[in-house]
Amino acid sequence: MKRSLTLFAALGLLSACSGSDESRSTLLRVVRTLPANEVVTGEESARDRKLLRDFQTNLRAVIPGLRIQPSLYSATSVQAELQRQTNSGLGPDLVISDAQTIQALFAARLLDPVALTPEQRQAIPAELLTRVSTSNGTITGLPVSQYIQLACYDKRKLKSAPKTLRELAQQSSEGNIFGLTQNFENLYWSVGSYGAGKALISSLRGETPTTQDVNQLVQWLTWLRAASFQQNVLFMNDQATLRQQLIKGNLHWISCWSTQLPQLREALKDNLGVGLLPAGPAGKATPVSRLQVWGLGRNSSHQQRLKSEELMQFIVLPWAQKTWALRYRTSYPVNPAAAQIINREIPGTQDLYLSTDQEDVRIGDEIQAALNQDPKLEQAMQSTLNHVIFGTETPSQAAATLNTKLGPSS
Amino acid sequence: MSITPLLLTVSPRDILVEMLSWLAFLQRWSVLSQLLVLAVIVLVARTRSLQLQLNRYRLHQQVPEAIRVLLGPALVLILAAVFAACQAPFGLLRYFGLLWLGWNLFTPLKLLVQRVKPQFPIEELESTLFKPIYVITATVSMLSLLGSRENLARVGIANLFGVEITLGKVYTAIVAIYLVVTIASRPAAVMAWASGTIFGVRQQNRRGLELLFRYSVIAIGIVSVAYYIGINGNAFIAIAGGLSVGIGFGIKEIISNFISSIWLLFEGSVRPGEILMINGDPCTVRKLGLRATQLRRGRDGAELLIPNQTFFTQEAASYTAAETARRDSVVVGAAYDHDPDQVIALLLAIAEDHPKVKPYPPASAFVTDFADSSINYKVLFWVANPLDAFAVGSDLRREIWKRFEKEGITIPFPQRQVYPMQWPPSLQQSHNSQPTPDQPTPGQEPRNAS
Repeated sequence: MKRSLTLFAALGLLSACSGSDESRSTLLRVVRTLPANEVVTGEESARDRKLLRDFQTNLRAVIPGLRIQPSLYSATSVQAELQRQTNSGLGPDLVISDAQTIQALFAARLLDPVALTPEQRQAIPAELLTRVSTSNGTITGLPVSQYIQLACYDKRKLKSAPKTLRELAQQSSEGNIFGLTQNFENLYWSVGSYGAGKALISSLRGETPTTQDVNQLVQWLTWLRAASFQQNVLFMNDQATLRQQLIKGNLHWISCWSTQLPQLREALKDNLGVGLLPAGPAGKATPVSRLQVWGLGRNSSHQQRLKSEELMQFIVLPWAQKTWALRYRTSYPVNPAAAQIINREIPGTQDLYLSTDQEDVRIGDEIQAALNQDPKLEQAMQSTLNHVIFGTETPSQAAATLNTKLGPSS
Repeated sequence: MSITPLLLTVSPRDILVEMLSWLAFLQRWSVLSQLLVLAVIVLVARTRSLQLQLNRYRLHQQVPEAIRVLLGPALVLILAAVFAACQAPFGLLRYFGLLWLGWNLFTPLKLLVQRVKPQFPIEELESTLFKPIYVITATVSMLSLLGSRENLARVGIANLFGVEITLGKVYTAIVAIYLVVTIASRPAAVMAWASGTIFGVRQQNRRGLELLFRYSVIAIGIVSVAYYIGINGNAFIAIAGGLSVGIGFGIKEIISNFISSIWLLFEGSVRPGEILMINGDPCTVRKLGLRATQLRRGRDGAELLIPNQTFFTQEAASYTAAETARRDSVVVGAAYDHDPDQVIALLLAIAEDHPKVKPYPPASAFVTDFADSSINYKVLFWVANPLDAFAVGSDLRREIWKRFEKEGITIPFPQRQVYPMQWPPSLQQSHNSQPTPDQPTPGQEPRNAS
């Protein structure tokens, strides 16, 4: 009996300590995700903690009493983890992930819808909001920034990044070693360089692609095969291997994501060069953009929810958008007003701002969303690409295979 | 090379911050309500007055113990289902209910195993393996539920030889080493048994072999864990360098004892089951440990713990190193009246009749001395088990007394005659002393003294 009373007293004391007064500090548990093919390492986790601690320190003046406790999960495991935590009432207050993961978590009833304020609606372009909306218009999360695919290179080995695929071929023949991943999402930028996206999207929509679209698809696949046959163009399994090889000096140029820049900067310091992905005969590269979206966990207390919403209100304001984008240089603002500042502050980045080419982004998103929804489609796409890369299927055969497998009858 | 950059940067801050963040869960009613329900049920289940009430209504007799211990967890699980039906968070209740249920299931399962197979060491396995594994699993799953498992696992707590040691690695290493040390005896016993069966190794050697296998399994386990943590060959060399200094100063004795134990096992001179003479007493080796050898003294059953290096630096008589039989002797004196051949024949017959005296090598008897009042004989005999020598010697002495008595052979012993005297002696006492009635006469000799 005495022991039980002690337990009750302790519980009471703890709840008193945690308090609900606004003046007291509020702790928000924030879950962040890494892409599915990335392994969460200790270094990554430590970097994330440091970043959020820094973020928290900077926020103190704006949102007093706010404390953040981060957790890092791989996108493949986050749903199962959050399911268990949310069922127990121990779910996070905020989930920071990409649009697709946020959509999936919302569909699994692990997130609450976000009620946008007029200021937020004004701050975020409507087309970005559609990427986080359900069919009935519910907003599943708040887009906060965009991550894009870039070219990262070692300045000691390469003076500048190749601007076109022709230059890439030229430089590789001169002994520079280029690294790409076999993964379709990471190769999508080259789809735009050859204008091959239209054939793919037509197949996915169940339409018959035009001859011209198919030809462009065949051209892209031909380039892919030719690249794989080159001695100095290496295809790796995942993005993490590419980064490691660039850091070790085995690769001179890789395709990378803006989120990975801190790790590369830490390792290569001033020798890290960042540029655009090479354009092709059909036009500019169309790197996929990943939105960073903030979702609201379902278990928050009233106070925690208020603080979360306050933070979400603040984070899309031009000042915050500009400050974080410039400070970390891993993402680009969603707020067009802040994007203009970024473009002025960092010369050459206007091309990187993806809102300038909405059609390609839309096609890329649609393809990616379709593949994410149906693992069989993704497997079929990846398998066909592998056959082309390893030379077991000709580009024409592969184009026909893709048309068949991506179509609705498959 | 200084030690500081090799072995430091211990930072418990992240761990504390993570643990303190759990308090924030108490701001949520969904968590508080589950904890309160759980606390109430635990309180009721543990309240002594309620148990007394149950006693009064003799419910204890009506409901068996195996069922009664499951009532509390079952109630928690039912309430978890109610919470789930109301679409309220229920995972904490379910978790603690299952945890409680699992723990309480140990008792009925143990009883069941004991009933089905009494010789199965369920008690030992429960305390050394099942319950520790249960606690480890429960801790990890609780941390996972709190969303802290990954965070805590990735917190770097030390930098060892340039390798970042995270809390997760340390936890895994401790668990793995515990399991290796606990479980190692099983495969080692199987290997020793298999080698005994296949290669015909003797029973005594098997126990030594088992110990060697066990140390090998533990050593392989520890090295594997070190490699898992990321400590590479260079680090091992550095550790060995550091240890050599440590051995030189502080732990010389421990290492010396450990190396001695390994050496003794290889040499085969001190193995479990051996019989050694320690300070003149035969002792059986019971266990060859890392630091000391445990022996049982045959004389009084006392357990002796003797550091292994003692067997290296001091001599010890072994009766089992090559041959287990021991030779012992009994010395006896017989009067000068008797023919030594007759006595020797009798002594040999007595020794040969004893069931524990080995027929080969045969017993032998000798005349050892023409002493003041007796001819001394020594009978030497072999026994198979050295620990029996003392008892066999006793048996032979008793038998010698009886057979000498029967054959009329006397065992002389020194005699003393005491005369009361007066000073100055009276004339009668001086010239005509007579023995008192209680004094033995000079011709009468006592017999049968050993």
